[in-house]
Amino acid sequence: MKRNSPDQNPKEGSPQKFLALEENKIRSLFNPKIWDSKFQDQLKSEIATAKPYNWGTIHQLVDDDLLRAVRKEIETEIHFTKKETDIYKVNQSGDLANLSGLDWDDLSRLPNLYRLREILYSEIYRDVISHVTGTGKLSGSKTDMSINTYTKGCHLLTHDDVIGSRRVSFILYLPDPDHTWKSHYGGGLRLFDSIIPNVPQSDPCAKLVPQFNQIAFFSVQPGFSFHDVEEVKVDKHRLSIQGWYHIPQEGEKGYVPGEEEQWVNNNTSTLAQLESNVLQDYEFPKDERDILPYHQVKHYEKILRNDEKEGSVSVISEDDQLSQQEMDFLKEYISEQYLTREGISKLQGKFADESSLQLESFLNDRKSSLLKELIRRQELEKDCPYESKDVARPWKTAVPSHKWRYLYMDGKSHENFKEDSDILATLNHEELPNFELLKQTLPKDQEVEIALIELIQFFKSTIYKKYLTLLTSLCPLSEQFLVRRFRPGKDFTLATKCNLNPLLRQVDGFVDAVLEGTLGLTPSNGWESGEAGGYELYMADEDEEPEQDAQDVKDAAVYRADDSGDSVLINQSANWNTLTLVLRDESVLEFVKYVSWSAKTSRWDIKSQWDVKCVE
Amino acid sequence: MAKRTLGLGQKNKEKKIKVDNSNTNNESNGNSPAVGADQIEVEMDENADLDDELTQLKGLWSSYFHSDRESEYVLNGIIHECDALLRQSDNDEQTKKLFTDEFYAIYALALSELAIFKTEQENEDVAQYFDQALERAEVGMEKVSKGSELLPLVISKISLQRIPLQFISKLKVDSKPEDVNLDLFEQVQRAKKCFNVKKDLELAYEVLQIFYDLLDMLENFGLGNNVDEGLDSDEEDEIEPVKLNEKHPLHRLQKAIPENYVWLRETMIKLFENTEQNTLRTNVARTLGHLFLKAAEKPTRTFMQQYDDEEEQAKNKEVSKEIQQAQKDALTHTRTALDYLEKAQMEDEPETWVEVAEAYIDLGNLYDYQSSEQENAYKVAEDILKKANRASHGKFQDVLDNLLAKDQD
Repeated sequence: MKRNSPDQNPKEGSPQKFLALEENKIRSLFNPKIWDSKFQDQLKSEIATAKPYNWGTIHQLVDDDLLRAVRKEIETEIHFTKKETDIYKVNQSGDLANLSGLDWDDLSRLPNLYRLREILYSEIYRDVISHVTGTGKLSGSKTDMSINTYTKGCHLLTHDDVIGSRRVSFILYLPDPDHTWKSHYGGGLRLFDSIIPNVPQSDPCAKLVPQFNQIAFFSVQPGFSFHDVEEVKVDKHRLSIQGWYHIPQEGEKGYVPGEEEQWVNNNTSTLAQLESNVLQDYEFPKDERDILPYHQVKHYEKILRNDEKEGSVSVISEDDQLSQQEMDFLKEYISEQYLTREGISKLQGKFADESSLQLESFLNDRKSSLLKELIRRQELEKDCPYESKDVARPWKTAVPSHKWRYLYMDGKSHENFKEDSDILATLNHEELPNFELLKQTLPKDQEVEIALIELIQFFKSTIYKKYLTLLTSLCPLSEQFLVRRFRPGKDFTLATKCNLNPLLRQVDGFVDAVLEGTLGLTPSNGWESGEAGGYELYMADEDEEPEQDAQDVKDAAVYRADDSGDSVLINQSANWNTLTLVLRDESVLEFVKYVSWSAKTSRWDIKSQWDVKCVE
Repeated sequence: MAKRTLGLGQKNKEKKIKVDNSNTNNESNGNSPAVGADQIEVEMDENADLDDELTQLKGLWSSYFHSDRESEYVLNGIIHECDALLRQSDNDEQTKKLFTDEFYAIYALALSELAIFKTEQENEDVAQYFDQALERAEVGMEKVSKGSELLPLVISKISLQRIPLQFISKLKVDSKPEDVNLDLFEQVQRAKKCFNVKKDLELAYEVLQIFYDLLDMLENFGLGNNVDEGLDSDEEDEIEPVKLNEKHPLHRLQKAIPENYVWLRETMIKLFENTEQNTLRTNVARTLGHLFLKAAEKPTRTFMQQYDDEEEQAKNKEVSKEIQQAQKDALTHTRTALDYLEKAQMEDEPETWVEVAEAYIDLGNLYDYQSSEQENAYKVAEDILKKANRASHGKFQDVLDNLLAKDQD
């Protein structure tokens, strides 16, 4: 795994053999309207008042013949590789910036692309962009472009493009020149407003449906310029050239000594924002677990301790095996194969060896089929809210959308954040989860929700936690439960590390890892290949060097999976009724891949977490 | 202080170190293959005699036939086993008893499937695999059972399968007769003659699917990649097929497309009638639905022309007999398609409901403008689409939008 992306490095001040085109020639290769000052002023005013931030678009930007020729060259000469990480799935080409570094043979293979790059970075055109966006001078020597083709299923999730010295982002679109690209094909550029800086809204408020020879551009505004590329939903190619204009470099017009360094120091990227935890209070649900009462924990301690038991009278016995009464309680939900003495002992051994367990058919047949039928019916017969404003109690939308987006129930009051004050009000009146109260206040026809809440109540039981203690030989100290629903074409989580509770670090035997359980409750099939996304991936962060500063973070992708797959520890498809238990230390990254529009249903699960300690 | 338990990541590192160490220690042992690598699971009937070699072979073939067919390794295994049994039979009368028509069918089918892998590999003579496959089936007919119903079906499959893979993929619009060393028209005729729905219905369905693909390929021959979007294409204009020179190796086949579609429909109906209530029957019904919609295309176009050209319409106030007939034919085919598509609906697959809805829209288009039949057909389609849209998180919104826009016209 690497966070650096060498192939995305802009070429800075490298000697370039520009085949300098004359200014007149450059002008003639653009749509003449862009040189008209009236057009420029109109565009400038549109950009200044654009929502949600300053962005603009120009149709028919360059000479039609030139761009058709470029498209043909790309199709015939450039090789694309499909790449998939937590934040994107896209067909990427190599870097374009070193085109001038190629030998003449290679140059002759891509002459039109070369010419296009030259005019896009020409001074007269840069000055137009600089004028209409009001961003100040732009570098012509630090070129930074890449070609992507988004085919069916490709997407790029929400990010702000803040990387290094980028000042203006642009995307020149090259779909099929002879056909209109329609909105329902997907592949739109969607822009997100922000609740406060660095916290984008859940849903986009503007969408551009790209057409051949159309350019979209915006000034890179730290904390504001959030955008994504909607998944392409049909079997068509959305080809585009993505590029950035950087802050002027030494020796160029507009160069200000120290300006770039200051910009870079002041503006941390999306990644750094997520990692720094500055905005942790603005994340919902919180990656934190509620501490268990000690009178309960002490029983688990005694179960694990080999010394003499006091034989306290309680709901659970302190024996290191299940009593008949405990067994009867667990049998209500769990398959018997996992409850026998041999079953438990086998799982104990496996967990000790591997720090993870995958228990298929975890719920017993009766519970499993009842629940599956309910969820399946919900999928087939009920409308699912797709915009956060429509999400109604007991569901909520996970925010912020550049970290994750999914529907969840956490047993707390309903909230639907629209502005900063809503978040602050919630933070001022924090509450503990109360699933029983939630259940009692739900209308009877919300059968799925009620059944899932009852399942969580079972998982929260003291007897279930004793069972967990036996399986893992770990003593739970805290807990959190979430019912999650990842909607097709909408939801995901980006890769993050677990967040340990500093208050518990002092506890004797505290394990600096979180015990995590995911019970798959997805009622459809067709997830195994991974094409539809929705898989949960645990991977090793092999790059454990000290935190790199923002300047070093070159890519919009937060984490990039190693294509060799070496770093993948567990890859669990969306499934029905498999419980995955993982003891996840701080070196492990986890994410749920964006669920494709083509998926048959949502991915459903119950996610549980416990802080744990060892007992000797 | 209690012992620290290792998390997943730390455990992984620890294991890596162990693996590295053991690799260093075992360097002199060389690389031993990992146990379990490339093993496949074969499901057998409960009552099957597991020691019987033919039973094993059948199990292996069945698991390949029902898989995603990505393992060349399994095919090679099957062929190797067939070869070995043939050799063994020279000295062993018992082995000869294994050579039923099923044995030869598996042998031939495996060779023919192997050819598919070979088309993707350079310097491979694909023809020899198909030739050998046909030879095995013919030998089987000769030696074992002239009355076999299975082996002719196998011959039918191989004859059709080789046409696109061995020939069409290499042909261009300006290819010459000498570019092909086989009479492709005769191949198709032979395949049709050999085809039957008596023995192996799954295989029969596959053969008809191959034939359907072949006809589609012939229709689109020379059109480039305009048609590769399949279902996602929303191209409304009919793409004119490329007219081939009379001497072109595909000319005769291209000319025979209409009659071959008729044969395909009729044969598919026979298959449907022979199939019990199961997934195969649903799939056959769906393909029949598509085939009848396809049959309705041409008369539908003729019927719709009157709406395209308003001037023409004004001139000929009376609808011509040709158009009336076209409407009648198109309605008959579309109704039949609808009938099959309804049989192909699956409870958990909204796509299959949408196919029905789209056929209702086609049907509505064929009725007289704003007639009650038309309104009814659109209404049924709308209701189905709304239900399917709800069940599939809005996947069919554009189809629904189109329909509703039509209502407002």
